Amino acid sequence: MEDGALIKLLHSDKNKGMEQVLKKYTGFVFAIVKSRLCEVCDSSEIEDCVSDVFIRFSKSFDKYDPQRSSLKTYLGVMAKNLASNAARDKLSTIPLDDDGMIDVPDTFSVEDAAAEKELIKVVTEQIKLLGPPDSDIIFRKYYIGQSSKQIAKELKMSVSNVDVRAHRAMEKLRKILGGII
Amino acid sequence: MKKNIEEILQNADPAVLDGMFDTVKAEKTNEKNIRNKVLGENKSGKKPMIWRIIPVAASFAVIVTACALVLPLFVRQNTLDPVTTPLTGDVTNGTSVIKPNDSSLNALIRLEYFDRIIWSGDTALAHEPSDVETLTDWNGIKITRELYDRLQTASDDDLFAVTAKLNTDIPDSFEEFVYNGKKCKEYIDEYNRTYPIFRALCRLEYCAAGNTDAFESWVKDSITEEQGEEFLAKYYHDGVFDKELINKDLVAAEEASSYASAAYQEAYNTYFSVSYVSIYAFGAYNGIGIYSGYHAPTGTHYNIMIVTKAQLAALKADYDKADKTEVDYGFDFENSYFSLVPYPEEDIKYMQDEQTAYVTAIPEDPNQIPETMAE
Repeated sequence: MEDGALIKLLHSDKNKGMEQVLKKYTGFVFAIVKSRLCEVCDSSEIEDCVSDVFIRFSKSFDKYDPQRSSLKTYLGVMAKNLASNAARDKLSTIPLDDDGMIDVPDTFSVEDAAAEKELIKVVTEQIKLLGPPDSDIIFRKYYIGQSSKQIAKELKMSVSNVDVRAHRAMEKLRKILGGII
Repeated sequence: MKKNIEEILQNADPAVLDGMFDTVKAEKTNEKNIRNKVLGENKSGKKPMIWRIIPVAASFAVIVTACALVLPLFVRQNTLDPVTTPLTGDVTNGTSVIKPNDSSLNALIRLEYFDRIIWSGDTALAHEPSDVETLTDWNGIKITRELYDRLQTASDDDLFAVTAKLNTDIPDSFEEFVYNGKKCKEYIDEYNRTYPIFRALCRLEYCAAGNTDAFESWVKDSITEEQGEEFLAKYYHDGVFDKELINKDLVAAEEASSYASAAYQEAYNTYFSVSYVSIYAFGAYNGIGIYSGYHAPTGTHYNIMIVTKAQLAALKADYDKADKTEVDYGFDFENSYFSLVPYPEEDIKYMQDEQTAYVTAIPEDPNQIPETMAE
């Protein structure tokens, strides 16, 4: 069922609509949540988090605008954010992978919402401009939190190839972002 | 200020990230549990408790009854497991499947017995078998549960569309695989030795270029931890980075790391292609019809074996006793499994569309090379 039809169904019959959403996206949401939580949570906690994503969506699907993003992206972002929160709850500090660090000039103050929005836009655009498979690798490794092994499996590459490409893509990003910003 | 990509994108609007999740694949999970939690939450508070208990109790009763009826069948089926009562069969005397001259999917669909071929009931994952976790040992090979079930009721004339696939995780045997006189483990070790040096020098180059701040102290700490104080002292002394030496050594380190990476990649590809080629060669030698497919969305090549039950049952035994000079050995039975292939409708359509495009791309002037061919 297409996203448009799904949204119509959600508005006319919420339960039937949610059944279809679950049928289509449970595996996808599970993949995102598992990537973030597999090392800190057990399977029932991961399942709970996946359920939370859909429960939250069912309570707020009015906010979803199909003109702005696909339902897959919307659920993906929601899943990633909830999983990050769950991981944060579990650990007092989340170890960040140093390889995913970018030098950001102080002009991008976190308090400045407009600057933050601009930074997000610039970084996202530059990741997309890397092109596949590098853009995919960077997004999966440093945003979703997938392991190199998982990325290698899905992109049909060797683990070492993923690591080498990720490293070079990050170097490229650092250089490019330094130049633009 | 140093920020992690995740930190930067944590408040990103879905509109900005649209499309970036497109290639993320769904994973198998307990959908029923999640569905019950979500839909239960949606309905909670609307029905009195009794109306929630009755369906659960009724479902439970149905499950218990079903288990009571079905379990004995499973038990009975398992006692007839062919592992304990292996089928014997000479593939050359079994139902003969013509050795194909043309191994394309096109040739496959033109076969007169095409309608008799049994395909997987799973159509959702193209040619990727989805029930890897339920592998069963059968006559020396591992097969998926679906294939096992279909073999139980098969007649001698039935034909199965089967593919062989290495388990996704790299098997231990990979490290022992010898390529160009070296074990794969040696290639891995060489890469693991050269790549961290290259990475450390990349970081030093970044600092030497004037990018300091918090990154510099992290670089020094991480390099000291990974490569030792002496390594850092070689490139950083008297409070200054030796830019010239860093750049010089970086070129050599990049070359060494790239060489190790390429050698490893080559060994890796050879290991997997040997498995593919050997089963192909073996099949053709033994008169099994093997056809090549191409799954365009993932850019994956795969093979489809058209076999009878007797041919499949004898596969491992025949493979073991085959003349080594005639069969390209190397198929990793231990780490591979066989499964039914879903009917590759999309791949056939893609292939036919490509052919149509190719035909229409040929210009009227035969001396002019069409772009598609020039590539």
